[in-house]
Amino acid sequence: MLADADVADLKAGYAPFAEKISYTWLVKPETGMLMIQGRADSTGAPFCLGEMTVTRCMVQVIDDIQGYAMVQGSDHEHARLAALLDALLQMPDFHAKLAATLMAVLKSREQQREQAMAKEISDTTVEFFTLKRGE
Amino acid sequence: MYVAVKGGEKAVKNSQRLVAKKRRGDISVQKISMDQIANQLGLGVDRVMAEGSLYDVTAAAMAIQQAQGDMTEAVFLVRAFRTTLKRFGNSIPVQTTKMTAIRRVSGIFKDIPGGQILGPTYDYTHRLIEPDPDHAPDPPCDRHTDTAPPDKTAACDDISPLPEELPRVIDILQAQGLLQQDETTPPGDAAEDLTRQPLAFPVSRNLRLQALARGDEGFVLGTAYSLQRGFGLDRHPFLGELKVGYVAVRYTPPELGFDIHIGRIKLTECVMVNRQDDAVRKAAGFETGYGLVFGQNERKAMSMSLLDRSLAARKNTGKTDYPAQDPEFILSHCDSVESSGFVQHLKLPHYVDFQSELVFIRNRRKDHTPDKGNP
Repeated sequence: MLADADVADLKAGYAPFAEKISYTWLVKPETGMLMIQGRADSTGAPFCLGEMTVTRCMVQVIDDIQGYAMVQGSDHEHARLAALLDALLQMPDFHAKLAATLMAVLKSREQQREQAMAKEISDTTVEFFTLKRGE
Repeated sequence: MYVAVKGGEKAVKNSQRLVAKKRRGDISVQKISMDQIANQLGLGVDRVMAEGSLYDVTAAAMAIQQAQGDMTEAVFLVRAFRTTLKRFGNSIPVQTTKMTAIRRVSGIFKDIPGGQILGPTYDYTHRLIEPDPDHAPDPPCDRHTDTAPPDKTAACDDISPLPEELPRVIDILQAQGLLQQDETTPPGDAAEDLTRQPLAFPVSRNLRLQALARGDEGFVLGTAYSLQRGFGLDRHPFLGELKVGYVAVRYTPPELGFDIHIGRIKLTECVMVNRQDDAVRKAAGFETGYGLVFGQNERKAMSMSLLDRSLAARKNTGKTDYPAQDPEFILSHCDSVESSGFVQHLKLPHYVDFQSELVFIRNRRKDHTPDKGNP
């Protein structure tokens, strides 16, 4: 969910904790690639389809909690926030707060996106008929 | 023979300055932004990502802008960019059976389970240029839903969600025992990778699919067309299923040891069906070809499926009568970066090479002059 989220949402969600949390980098944000694999005939043997740009990083916050993120694209800030939030979500106190705020926002955004897409797509469902001559 | 040529440094710099000026065009016209390219030239971006072999909308949009819309040049730029990036690993193979389809049609069964979904397509448009596109009104609801406040969810509650999994047309044929599988490789986890090893013939199916997936659309389309016109196919192929949609990318980072969701990518998947008579095989049936391409790129995915089939056919019959049946012919020439590089290098100085040709011809002519050596 953090990987799919808009950076603005993550920023807003993390903002209340930003001052309280100090962190150290275990792996600084770096952009690289992931080879995307597909499967022949969709379920057969894997093959290399092409790569995707990703950015990953790893942080350590209080209590030795580690947060990891790998996100699509080359936005270092997205990866940083996702890793920090990943760390916070592993701590019960923060988890409860974030579940009520950020995670709820992300969930409803995703639902909206899905619904909007479902509406657009269902409107284009079509039925084809074969006709006999003379009918 | 290559011989270094010196000089022209200043002219080259000036030429680069000039091309930058030409790219910008008339400065009274507004500059186009990367967002505009990514949003309004989406299919172009998809093509550049597919042939550039890198799923990165921003990089593809920048490449299209920098190449003045020259797609092959943009593909080259993306390929060059990908060589600067470190590879972290391989994704878990994407599950296209779980694709969130925005488009899905079959040309062989009209009542496919899950329905025929047209989605966004130019197939049924009139293909007439609309006058005055600068002032055409925006279509309704053009605002991306992301910008809507998150509490407005009630409005479309009655819409049933998109199915998580559409039944595959290929399974219908399989269930009826009509399908012939010839290249069954056990579904393992690691695939060969042609960016890490040279293409050697005979080539495995997974390398063939990789080469076609990043191959030039024009070449792949043209050679697939040659099949349809009779240069390799003696009967009509059929579109089993064509699907466009989003799949989740998952990866297992070694640091974590479990797999995580990285993002969602848009793909086009295609299965083509050909009839095969009992003269060649034990029983008459159908054979299929497979295509999978980054982005929405149906022409390419369909052509890829036709070629996947025709290149496999050689294994069955051992015959190669036509170019589109010859793996070496197709796979060695389908890459636009390689082919445009080799053709375009002819623009570079070949003065010494050509000099040797002149010397050769003059010598030959001297040898054949009638009054010389033939008194």
